[in-house]
Amino acid sequence: MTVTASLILAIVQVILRYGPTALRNTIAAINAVLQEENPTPEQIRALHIDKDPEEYFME
Amino acid sequence: MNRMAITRGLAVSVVVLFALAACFGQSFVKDNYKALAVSKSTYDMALSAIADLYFQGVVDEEVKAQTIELARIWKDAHNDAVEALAQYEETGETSSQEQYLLAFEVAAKALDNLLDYVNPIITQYGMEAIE
Repeated sequence: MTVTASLILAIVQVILRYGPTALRNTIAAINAVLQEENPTPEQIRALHIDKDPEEYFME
Repeated sequence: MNRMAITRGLAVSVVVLFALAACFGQSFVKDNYKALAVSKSTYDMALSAIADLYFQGVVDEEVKAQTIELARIWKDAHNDAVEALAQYEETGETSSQEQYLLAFEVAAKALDNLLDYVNPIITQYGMEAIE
């Protein structure tokens, strides 16, 4: 079975089982993930570790 | 080599492969941003676990000092990688990308060293190994 046939079969199964709204929501979620934009430099710099290891041992 | 060491080795390899694979894709920044987010979270988990044991009185000053020393090496390398990735996102310069990869490699080795030290201690006291 080709990939396209498998995909069509999977879509039909999803519609039959969960309805067209579930399919629309699934496709929207996949699109959102695929179109997710790169983080900004500010978002990247937020991953900077400020807490020194010694601070974990202070009460 | 015991099972925990193999698991940890695989986990570190996955993180490194994730970063290397990202180099060849179009989502270099996005994928490495996620890798650094995992790195930051692991740093917090490892130090919190040893600190808990320290406050319970089950690990001594020597363990504390060694953990702090290893964690500082990791923290510095992680922060260098964060800055290099942010600069790469800003400028798109290849030198920033190369700088990021070097820093990430150092951070991955430092992570390996710290988990090598921390995991046998925390699992001895019933905690889950950090991967």
